Amino acid sequence: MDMTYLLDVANHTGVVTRISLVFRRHGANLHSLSTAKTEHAAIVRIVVTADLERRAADRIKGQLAKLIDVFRVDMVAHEEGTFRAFGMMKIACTLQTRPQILQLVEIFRGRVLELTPEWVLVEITGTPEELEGLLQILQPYGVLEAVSTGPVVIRRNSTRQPKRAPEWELVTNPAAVNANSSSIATQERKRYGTDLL
Amino acid sequence: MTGAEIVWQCLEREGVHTVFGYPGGAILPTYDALRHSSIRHVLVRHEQGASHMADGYARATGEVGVAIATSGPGATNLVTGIATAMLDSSPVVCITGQVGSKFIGTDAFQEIDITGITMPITKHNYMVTDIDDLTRTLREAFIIARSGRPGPVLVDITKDVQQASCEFAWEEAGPQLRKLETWDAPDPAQLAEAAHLINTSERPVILAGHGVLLSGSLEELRTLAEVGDIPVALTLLGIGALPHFHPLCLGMMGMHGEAWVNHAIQRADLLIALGMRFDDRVTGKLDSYAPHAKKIHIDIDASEMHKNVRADVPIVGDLKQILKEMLPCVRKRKHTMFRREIADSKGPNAVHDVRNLPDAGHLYTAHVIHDLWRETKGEAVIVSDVGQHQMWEAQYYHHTQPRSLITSGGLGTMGFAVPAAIGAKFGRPEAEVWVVVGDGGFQMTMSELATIIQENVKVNIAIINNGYLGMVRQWQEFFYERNYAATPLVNPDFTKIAAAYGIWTAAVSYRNDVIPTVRNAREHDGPTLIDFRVEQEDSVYPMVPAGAALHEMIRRPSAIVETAKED
Repeated sequence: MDMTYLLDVANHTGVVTRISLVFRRHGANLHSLSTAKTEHAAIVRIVVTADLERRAADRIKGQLAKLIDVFRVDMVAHEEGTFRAFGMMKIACTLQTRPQILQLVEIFRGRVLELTPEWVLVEITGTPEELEGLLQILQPYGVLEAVSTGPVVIRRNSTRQPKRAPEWELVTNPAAVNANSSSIATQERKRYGTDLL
Repeated sequence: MTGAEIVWQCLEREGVHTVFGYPGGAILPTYDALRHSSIRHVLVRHEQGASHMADGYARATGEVGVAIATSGPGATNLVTGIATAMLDSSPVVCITGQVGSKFIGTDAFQEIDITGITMPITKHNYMVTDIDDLTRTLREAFIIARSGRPGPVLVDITKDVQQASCEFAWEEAGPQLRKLETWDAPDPAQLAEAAHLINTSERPVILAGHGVLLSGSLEELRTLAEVGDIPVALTLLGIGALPHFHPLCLGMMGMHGEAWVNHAIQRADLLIALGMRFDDRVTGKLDSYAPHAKKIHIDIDASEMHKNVRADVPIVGDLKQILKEMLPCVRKRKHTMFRREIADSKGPNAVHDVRNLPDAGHLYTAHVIHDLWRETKGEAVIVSDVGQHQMWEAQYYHHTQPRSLITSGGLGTMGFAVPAAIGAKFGRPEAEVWVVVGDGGFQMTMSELATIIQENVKVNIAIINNGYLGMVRQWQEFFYERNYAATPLVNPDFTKIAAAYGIWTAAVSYRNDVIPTVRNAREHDGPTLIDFRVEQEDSVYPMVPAGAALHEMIRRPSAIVETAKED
């Protein structure tokens, strides 16, 4: 199943490695990974897509959320977000086929970047499916080169306030972890003694 | 103040008294500044020992253990110890030197990308290349190591940062961390649901893990068990969460748990999992694990929920707080039937038989552990290694106090025990510390005998010497047609090795000698080593084969028992 992860992460060196390691640990082959600045300088948005089974996908989500540099991680289904990717395709053409190609590009709301007698270079922005659709439809004319980015995503039901600063927060309650062990031992000794031996 | 001095200042402010380390080129400035610090530095003989000692210190005390090493091989030698701490949620901070910033990425002498190497085995790690980040980074490292589910943190500091100077501003260098407690206050609805399940179940079993000890929820666990009249099974690392002799304590569960414990779990209608993670050594085959039981899973780590076992009521958060809030809703119950059923199933088939064997010329490990337990009145801190002796220790040494068993559970690191015991002794100088270690594991880190001598640490080492890598041999016996490939060991005379270090030593081959020798070792004012030459081809029973259901156990063949009875 194609899974899309949205991560808000701290703008730190190595954060992409930390994230990709979690996927790698599960043997997941990433389809795409895009990383870019957001509206806040301290936060970077990373979008990862991978083909995963549900169980592994959930484990990965949990392990991503544990990373100290990760503020938030969501798995986003298609209906929950607006997905946009960018692609460029260089298509072989002749004088005869060129009008057809240009027409198809038009239908897909692509744009011609360069035009020569032998090929056209087009760009397209759309959902990953639209990019794939255009590529398929142009296949018969001869695809000389095709590249695309992975999707970037905005959550549809996002409730985030714009420009919100990340929540740096000092952890002040390590008390539970540091429970005084020797005092516990003393209590135990008092209660149970050694007379049971 | 130089970066090197800042390192020690930060450690002091974090409450560190003892660090374990090994110097080298890239960490030299820090070692040079040690003379201005009140912190005690313990010189190890191999950096793996340093990370295990820090781990042992952390497990014995609940405080953060600190290991220090140089760049390159010093740093890579820490790796096994870091991974061990990671798998067992032990708060450790490792500080490594790194080559100067301008040499990074040039394959400089003793340069290694240790932050890259340790990313998957640390809770978090840092490389510090700017002295202005140093104080904040060290503060963050300690917070991360000890907060939430504890774990190891590595801080790699370039040599130029150690040499550079800046104003030391502890207060101003506040940590910049996201909120680490990712859970909210316990959901009352969930607590109510959990309490309802507990109040209505007829065959409930509590599964208590390391989290009970880490969160200090001993009182709450006991109250829950006593009020609800619920038997408690322990994971290996949960041993000590409830005293062994508590009437509701079943003992260890899982692959080498007693049969009645595993049967109780398999027949339960409710499992209350507290601070444990349903490891494969605990569950056996997942498809047939506790098939009739609803599961309440309480853990601090959200990623543990549903990871191996689907929980009906998953509650994420601090165990102590959750139990405190849940307890008022738990009704007083009596599960007389269920408990009698468990008591009846103990019967004659308990492994306890072995320890009652007469002395028939064979020294069984069970004898050794049982006598060690009797002689130390169950009050020693036992640090066990990995393998057969580890399971026998868990079966025959009856722990009544928390943090009295220190062992590598998750990673199963042979060679852990000797260094971890040194760390534990530094953490709890008043405690009597015994190492229980196999002849295989002992030889992995026996270089630390020198550390024991140099620092004059009173630890007692009991080598369970059967001339085999015993647990592997056992698997070969059961599952590989007794093809003992690469498991027989040709050993040195361990008593001579101890003598070479000036360590008090003795060898024991007969049961009658166990207690007197242990007594002598205890009375000796200094470290000791006893070479227990035990039966070579004994096996740990019962055993749930890997991949089998929890109730499908291999039992001790009766032949051994009968032979012994004839004598």
